[in-house]
Amino acid sequence: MRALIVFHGNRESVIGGEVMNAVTSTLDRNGHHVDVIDLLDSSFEPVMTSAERRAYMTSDPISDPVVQHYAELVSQAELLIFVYRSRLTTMPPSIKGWLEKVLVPGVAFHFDAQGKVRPSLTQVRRIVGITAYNDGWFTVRRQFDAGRRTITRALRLNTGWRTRTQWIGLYNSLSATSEQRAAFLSRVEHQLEQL
Amino acid sequence: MSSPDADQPTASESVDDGAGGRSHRAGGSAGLSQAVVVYAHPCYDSFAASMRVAAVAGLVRAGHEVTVLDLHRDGIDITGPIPEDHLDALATAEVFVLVYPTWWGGQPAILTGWLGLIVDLPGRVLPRARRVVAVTSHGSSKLVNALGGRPGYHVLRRFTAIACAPRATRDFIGFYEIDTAGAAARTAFLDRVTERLSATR
Repeated sequence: MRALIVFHGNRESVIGGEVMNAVTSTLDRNGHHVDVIDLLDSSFEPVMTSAERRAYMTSDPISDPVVQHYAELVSQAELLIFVYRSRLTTMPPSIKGWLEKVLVPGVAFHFDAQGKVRPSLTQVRRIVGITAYNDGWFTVRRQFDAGRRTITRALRLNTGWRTRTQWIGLYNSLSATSEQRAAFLSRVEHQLEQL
Repeated sequence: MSSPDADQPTASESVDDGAGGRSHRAGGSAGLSQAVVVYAHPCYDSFAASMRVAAVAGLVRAGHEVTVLDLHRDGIDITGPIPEDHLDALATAEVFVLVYPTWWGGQPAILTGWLGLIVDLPGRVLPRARRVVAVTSHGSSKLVNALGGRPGYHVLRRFTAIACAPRATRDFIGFYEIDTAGAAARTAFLDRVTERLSATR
């Protein structure tokens, strides 16, 4: 499958280092085509400008070549993977801005004859979220995990209900022992092997 | 509480928010409670700008001194830091109102970043904020937003617990299906925003 990884993280962190290595090497080993968008290392500007907002509802919503490139990648992806550290129960603003600017009308969705929103990313077969939390599993669930909801619910409305979703979390990540981290990494590898 | 300048305009003179000016104060005479409105839309002819005007009008009618923090106008860098004047306004805010469009179920990136920077600071940045209100527009219906999981609502819930007064109450005023809404529905919603906020104590 064609995989697209949307990633925000420091290469020295668990998420940016060990997790990203595990994800890319597992996908490579299984013969998937892998594209990586590293938002910390990109010239992508997450904040919507007034010009971009005005262009949003026109037939030509994208002007930035970086955004155009990302739109082409996501339109081909069969596997979408998001990798980040959670803050305030949600994704970093860079990934939120990526959704806002790249997944515009004509890329992620279109309007049918009745003016209703219809999904355009129907080639996406699976969405995977991999994230580290400061809190434990129970606390994260009690806080309703907005990042997970955005990706597995709001985003999935634009890929269609046949798309499967998977969520892999490292909980209490700041106090995780090396055994817990290793267990998390093997879970990431195992889940991606199953694709 | 800070004592405002005697020269400041009275509440009735400053209802006109203008929705395009710099972050500024409206209302204000000695002893008024402080309200902060954070605005996060890049365009000043947007429906969000009208929501901002409606919100400020309601707060002034309720007798609050209102400070507007306009994230785009203030050129917020989502990697930080938060401007000092924002922190000063938040420190005394008793009512905290967020005006933004809901994109992908939640706050726009600039507001997501700004809220994240605030919760990363030590302690409660809005220790006196006892009332938190979101005023937001949605492209999709209420049902589709429920299916989408309402992440923006849950971010705000968490933000309130971390950064605002311990028993702060929340209100969420949402406008749905904005793309197909007619002028009458828009006006009715804006009136509702002003009315709800004019009852904020």
